[in-house]
Amino acid sequence: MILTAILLSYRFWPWPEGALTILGPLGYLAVALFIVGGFWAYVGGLLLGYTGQTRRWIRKVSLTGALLPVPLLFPWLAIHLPQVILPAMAVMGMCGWIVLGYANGPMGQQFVTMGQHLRLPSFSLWRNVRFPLICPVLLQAGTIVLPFFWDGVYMVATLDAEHNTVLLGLLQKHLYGMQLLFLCLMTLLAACVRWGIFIPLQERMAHRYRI
Amino acid sequence: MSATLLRLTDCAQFARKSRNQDVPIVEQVNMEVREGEILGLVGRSGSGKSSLLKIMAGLDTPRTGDVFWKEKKATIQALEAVSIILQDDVLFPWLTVRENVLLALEAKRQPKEEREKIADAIIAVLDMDGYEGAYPRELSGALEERASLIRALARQPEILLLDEPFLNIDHLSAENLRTDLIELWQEHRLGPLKAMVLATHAIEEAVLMCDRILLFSSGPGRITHEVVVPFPHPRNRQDNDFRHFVDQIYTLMTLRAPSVSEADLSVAKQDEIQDESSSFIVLPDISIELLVGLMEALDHAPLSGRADLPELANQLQMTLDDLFPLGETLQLLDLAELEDGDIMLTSTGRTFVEGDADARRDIMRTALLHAVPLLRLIRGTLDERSSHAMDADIFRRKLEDTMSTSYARQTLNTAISWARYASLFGYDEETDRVLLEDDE
Repeated sequence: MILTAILLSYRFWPWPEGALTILGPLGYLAVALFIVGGFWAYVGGLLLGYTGQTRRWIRKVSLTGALLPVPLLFPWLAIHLPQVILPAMAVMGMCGWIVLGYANGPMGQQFVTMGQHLRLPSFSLWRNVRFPLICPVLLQAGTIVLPFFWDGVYMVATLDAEHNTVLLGLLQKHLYGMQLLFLCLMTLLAACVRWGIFIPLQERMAHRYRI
Repeated sequence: MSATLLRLTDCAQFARKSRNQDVPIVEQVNMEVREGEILGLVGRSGSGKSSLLKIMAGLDTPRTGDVFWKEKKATIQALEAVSIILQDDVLFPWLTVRENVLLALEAKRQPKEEREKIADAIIAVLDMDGYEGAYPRELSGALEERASLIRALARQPEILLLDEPFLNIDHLSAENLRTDLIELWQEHRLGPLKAMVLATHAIEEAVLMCDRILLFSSGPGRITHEVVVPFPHPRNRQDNDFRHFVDQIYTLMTLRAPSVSEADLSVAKQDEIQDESSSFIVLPDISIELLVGLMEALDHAPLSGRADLPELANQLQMTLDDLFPLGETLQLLDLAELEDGDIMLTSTGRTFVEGDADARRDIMRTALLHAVPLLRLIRGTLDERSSHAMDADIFRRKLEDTMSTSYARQTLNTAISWARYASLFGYDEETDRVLLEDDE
């Protein structure tokens, strides 16, 4: 995976200008993953002990985001901002829909209520109760959402004329062999992230937190 | 006279509802917890005992009335001296017993070393050393309950509130835990603990443990009697005076309720039609077969339809605490009556016992539809729907508006089991849907 990442960073994907130059475009991917994960860890954790309508409403909004027909919005996809925001919204929505669905169990609510009954300070409640409950759920959602996340990455790489991505270059130059190699490497990277990071981490978390 | 630690005056609590008016759980409760006593709150499931305990622990505020801590208006900070063990309490499965206890101490804002010292000391006192490193899934139900007790005591409370603490563990383990708790209490080995409050539906358990008992009526919960237990610890269940005392309390609990006038009834009927869900009651985890068995036992000679509850319990080799809910359920269904410590079959009950299987089913169906609003609501809804099916979770959520999650689950399970006997409706476990079957 590291080799793939290095190849993609140094050879096949152009260096972005400005921030995150150390990791190249993979830095953006990592940041995107952390933003999605962090957002749903917070919102999902916050909603664990909550059974009201707001949870259902947020889940419905998430589903709407997940069902966003991104490719059909192609007139806007030539512009950089919607190009990134639209697929990101779809991934965010899908992740939220899964997280809020899994975290809806009565046990989650029971543990959070227990923590509140023990009058735990907010930080302690997050560290000892909400985080152990939401973490395995989040990783589970991650394993499901990752293929769609990579689809988004491919799409942006294909459409991002402004940054002259390698995939776009290959497509324009009709270098089919290189395209195949690029897609193999990307698939390898995706597989490694899923089976090398998310699934082992999910199993470890599930074992650690006995959920 | 002992100092009053906690006092409730004119407290009332209502179940939160999303629409229509709220449902009263307890009304006009005036009570106090005194230093040096174990106070018992005795009443059937759903009589508001748990709600009162939550108010006493500061987890809930009463809709009306006041809570006083040592004669001053209670604040959240003051009520930190109160620990509570609720029926739904759980140990965190990702933490060991010791870590669970230490977590409870995080709220106390003490240095880590001090917290560890307190945790180790209380674990040793409750005889759980050796299990500190065990995860909850490695413990039996009784040990889990003991660990919950340790966690509550580790916070060094002045009052410990216990909500049916022995309900979900086997008889022998419950007896062992009860004895240990009373011994430690008697020996003043439970830290700064000054009083305990035990909420239970089991009268014998209350007499065995408590110094003073408050009896509660249901719907809404009110204190009907206050009884002082005159026996010193340790108490012997087999002692004649003890048995007689328990019987007296059963008699108090089965005193005939004041009659309701026709005018009151008509008003009640209108309210019932307005909102069926406001009259949901907690149904006990009792099978119809047990109820039928009890009615048959009552009908056989020499009882001929009437029996003294303690004698009947003895004859059926049951404890009074196990028999009493059966009698209450038969009374709810108007198949038997409880009066002055006796149970007697009603005319409907006699007809039921004398009938064949079909006749029994018809009688039970009528009785259930008449007495259990939940069944009426489910059946009515299924009749109205073209698919004759509906998600059971909708009713579960409706029940949760008026009772706790665990009671809601238990109530719906019991309702489904009773409905199956009376062919009111069926239930598909795979899809979690209630449905009308062809012959219904």
